[in-house]
Amino acid sequence: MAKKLRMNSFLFCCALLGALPVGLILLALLNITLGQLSDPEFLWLVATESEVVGTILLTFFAGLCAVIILLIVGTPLAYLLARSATKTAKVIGTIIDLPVMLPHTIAGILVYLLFMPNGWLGAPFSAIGITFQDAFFGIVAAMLFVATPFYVTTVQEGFGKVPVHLENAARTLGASPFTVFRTVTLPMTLRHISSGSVLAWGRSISEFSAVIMIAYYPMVISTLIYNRFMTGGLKESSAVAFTMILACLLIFGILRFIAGRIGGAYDRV
Amino acid sequence: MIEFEDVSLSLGNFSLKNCSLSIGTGEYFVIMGPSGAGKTILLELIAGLHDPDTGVIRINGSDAAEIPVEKRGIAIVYQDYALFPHMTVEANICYGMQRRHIPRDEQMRRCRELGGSFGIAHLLKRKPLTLSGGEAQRAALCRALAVKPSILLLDEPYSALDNESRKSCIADLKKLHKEGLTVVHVTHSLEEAKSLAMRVAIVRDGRIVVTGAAEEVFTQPKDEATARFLGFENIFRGDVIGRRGRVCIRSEDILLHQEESENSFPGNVLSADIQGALRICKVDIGEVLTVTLGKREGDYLAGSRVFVEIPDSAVHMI
Repeated sequence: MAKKLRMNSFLFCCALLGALPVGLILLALLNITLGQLSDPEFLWLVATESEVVGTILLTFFAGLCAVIILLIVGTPLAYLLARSATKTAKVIGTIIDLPVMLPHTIAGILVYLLFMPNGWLGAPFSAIGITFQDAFFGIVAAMLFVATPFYVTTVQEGFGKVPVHLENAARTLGASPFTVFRTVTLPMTLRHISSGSVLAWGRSISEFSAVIMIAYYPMVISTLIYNRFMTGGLKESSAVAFTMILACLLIFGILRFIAGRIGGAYDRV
Repeated sequence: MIEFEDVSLSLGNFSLKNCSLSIGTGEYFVIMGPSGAGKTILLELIAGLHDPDTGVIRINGSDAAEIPVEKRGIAIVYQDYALFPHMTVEANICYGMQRRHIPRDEQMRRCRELGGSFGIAHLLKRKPLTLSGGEAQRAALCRALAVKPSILLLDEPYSALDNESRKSCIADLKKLHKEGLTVVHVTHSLEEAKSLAMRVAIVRDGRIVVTGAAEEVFTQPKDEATARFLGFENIFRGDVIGRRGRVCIRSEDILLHQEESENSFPGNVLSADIQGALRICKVDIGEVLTVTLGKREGDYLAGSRVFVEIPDSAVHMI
């Protein structure tokens, strides 16, 4: 049951200051919504355009691929970082955080240099027929690069909250290290894993600079909105943007609801 | 049989230095020491949760380094019980049996049996976070015993319990030990150690400073720090029957009288503080002695003149 907040002067000041960012977001949403609803026919025309629908689906799917890769490779890394206090772990933690600090155009350059057809990774992949430049895999690579810190940091924090002696007790009861991870550590970290995944997915689909460096085509939604802005003007790009806002509100609203329920009984230590 | 031969281990800023000890099969062995002395690390070394930097640990004659943690047949109960919060009490108790691929029916039978004998049968469907300290302690003990360990390790299992629960849990443990289980119990409670231990080791600053039969260790401390840890408040340099050294006397072994008697020393009460049911007096007889009396044992107030009697049996030389 939601607890009712008893208002005092300090909480009132918090609410007053906090109203600013909330108000800003609401105002921006209201602005675009009223603009779009004034011409619903045009909005419907743009929203049902196959290029717009296809691009939104591609963006969500590429983001999902990045999240799946992170679930597979980011989870063990986060566990390792949470359980290790060595200098190497700290250095790795800093390296993982780097994409958050860097301007995204720099991230784009880094990804491009690595995955371009004659890049260190691009060349061997080209040899087996996988290309990144102006290709789906390029989008996923750029999204993965920028989303990794969000996932790893969130999940690492979750693993850090599972007391080591719980794992020790499980080991003495006859569980192998992997079984301990599967039956004790992972279930207690589900909430962090789900919120890390949502964060990483959100970060992936919102990426623009890093993606266009390696793959202007096929266009992700940010690229399409930019493209429409340059070619068709504000009206057309706003309609695409509004469609994406609706899609995001729907999907992330559902995800937040699900994530709030996952692991609720597990992470109370 | 557990044997430590010159075992050393460094963990961050803490190090365990040159520890040697041997714990016999079926023994109730208590490891005592102040907080941060290295008691839990010793337990975790036995369980195989750390590998020693140097030295050898042997379990029943085999080098423990060769036996993985999950195959040692050693169960541990931690200070905060370490129950898995996302599982019911029943799932916690069955956890070890599941790992051993014991059939589900047998798991449930043993779970109910243990739950019944430890008085938690009605709590099997509950989550650990809804249990009281005593209930959680029993659930943790059931979980450890469900795998029929040959050695049970207890890491200050009673520190969070009220007096009533502690007494009843101590009785449970005595019963288990009588059934032949080897128990290694870490505590800093003298009372717990006295009521359970067959043999004792005292650990200080990462070293085992004393090991021996409980009675011997508790009554004949080998050095001043150990004597203080074991509750000898009165320690001073002295000469008893031609032997020079440190004289150790427990405060509760000293008697106070209002009349002079044979072998008593005159003195003045410097202070008399009531602490619960006890009266703690500081008495100056040339040396200042701490004397613990029952609250009703004489009405000694600060400034009163008394005669102090120290029975022969109360004096220990180190």
